[in-house]
Amino acid sequence: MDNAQLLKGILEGCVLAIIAKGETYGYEIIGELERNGFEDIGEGTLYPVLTRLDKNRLIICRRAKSPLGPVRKYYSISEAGIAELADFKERYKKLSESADRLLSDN
Amino acid sequence: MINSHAIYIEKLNPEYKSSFKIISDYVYSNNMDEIRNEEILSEIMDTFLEAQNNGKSVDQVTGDLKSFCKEICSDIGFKSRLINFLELQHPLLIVYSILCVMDVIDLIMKLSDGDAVNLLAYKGSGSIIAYLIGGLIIIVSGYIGKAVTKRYIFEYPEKYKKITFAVRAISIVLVFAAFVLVFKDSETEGTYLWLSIVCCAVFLVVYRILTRDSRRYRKENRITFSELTGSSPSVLNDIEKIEMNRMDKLNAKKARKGEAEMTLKEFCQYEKLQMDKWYNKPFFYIMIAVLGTVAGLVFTFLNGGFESAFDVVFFIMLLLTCEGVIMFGLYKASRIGFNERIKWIESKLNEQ
Repeated sequence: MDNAQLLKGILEGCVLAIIAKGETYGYEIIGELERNGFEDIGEGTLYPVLTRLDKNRLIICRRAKSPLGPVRKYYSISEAGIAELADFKERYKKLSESADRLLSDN
Repeated sequence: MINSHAIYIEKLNPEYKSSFKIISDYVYSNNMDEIRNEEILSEIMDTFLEAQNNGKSVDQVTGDLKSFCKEICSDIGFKSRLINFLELQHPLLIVYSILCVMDVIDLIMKLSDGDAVNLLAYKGSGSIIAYLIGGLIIIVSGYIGKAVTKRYIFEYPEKYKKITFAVRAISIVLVFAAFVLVFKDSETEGTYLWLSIVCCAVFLVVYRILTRDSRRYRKENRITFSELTGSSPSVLNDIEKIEMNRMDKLNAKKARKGEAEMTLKEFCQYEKLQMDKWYNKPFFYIMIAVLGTVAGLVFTFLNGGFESAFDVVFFIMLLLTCEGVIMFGLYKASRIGFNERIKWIESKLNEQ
C-alpha cells in the first residue's frame, strides 16, 4: 500500500485548506504542502487537482502577469469551496478517529 | 500578441530549458486547444523560473518527467479536443471563405452585366468536399505525428523530432497517393455557392462561440512588441554583439589610419550622434516609396496606361493601402530596434 493511494483521498481537501488561508498560486501551494510534510507533490500532481477544484467551482481563478513574466493563475476559495472544506474536515475527522481506534487496537 | 510562455524560454538555464522543451512537445502532442496548451505551459514556465531562482534542480520540481507530463495532460475533455480540431480546420475555411467572397463578387458582376443567373444552381469555383478532404489529410497526418511524438519522446529524446517528421511526411504522401488513385477519374465540380456560404457561415459561427474563452484570454494577456523585445535577453545580447563588432571595425579602421582607438565611452557618444542624425530618416524613405508609387501611376495614366481617371485613383488607393500596411510594419519594427539600440547606448554611457 503506497502513499499515493492515501494521498489521493485527502489532497484536494488539503489544497482547499491552503487556498482558504488566502489568495495563492501553484508554486506557493507546493511550497506550503512541502512545509507540512507532503514532500512528493509536484506541479504534475497539483495541476489536475486545481483543475478539478476550478471545474467544480470550489475555487476562483484569476490570471495575472507574474513578477517573473509569464501569466500566472491565482486561486482563492469560493463560497461553495468554504462549505466543501468544512464538510471535508468533518468527514476527515470521523474517518481518522475510526482509523486511529482500529490501528491502536492492533 | 499574447504574453506567451515562449517569450521566457531564454531565461531558463540549459537543464530547465531541455526539460521544458520536452514538456512543451508532449503537451502539444495531446490535441488540446491552443489556450489550454498555453495555460499549462505558462504555469510550468512560471514555476520553473521561480524554482530556478530558488536554486532548485529541475528534477526536484518535476520528479519523473514522463509521469509529470502524463499528469499535467490528464483529464482532457471532449470540448478541448473539438476546439483543437476546429482550430486546425480554421485556416482552410478562411481561405475557402475568401474564395466564396470572390465568387460572390463574380456573381454580382455577371448580374450587373445583365446575365440570367439561377442563384440556387450557381456553382462556385471551389469544391467544399475537396477542401474538407484536403484539410482532413493534413489534420490526420498531424495526429499521426503527434501520436509518434507521444510514443517516442521519452525513449528517444534526441531523435523523436526526426522520427515524427519522417512519419508525417510518409503519411501525407501515402494518404495523398491513395486519394489520387481513388479519385483520379472523377472530375471535381464546384459546390453550389449558397451551400458553400452556409457551410462557411455555420463553421465560423460555431468556431467563434466555442473559442470565446480563447479570445478573452488573448485580450486579457496582450503584450506589446516593445514589451516583448524589452523582456527578451537575447535581443539585448544581439545588440551588444552588433555594437561591439562595430566598435572593433571602427577601431581597426582608425588603427590603419594611424589614429588613436576609441574607448567604449567615445564609441557610445559617436553612435548616439549617428542615431540622432538617423532619427527621421526611416520616415523620409517611406515617403519616397509612397511618392514614387503615386508618381509612377500618374505617369502611366498620362501615357495612356489606364482607361480612365477612376482606374488611376482606384489603383493608387489599392497600392497605397498594401504598401502602407507593409511600410507601417517596417517602420514600427525599425523604431523598436532603434529604441532598443538607444537604450543600450545610454545604459553604457551611464555606466562610464
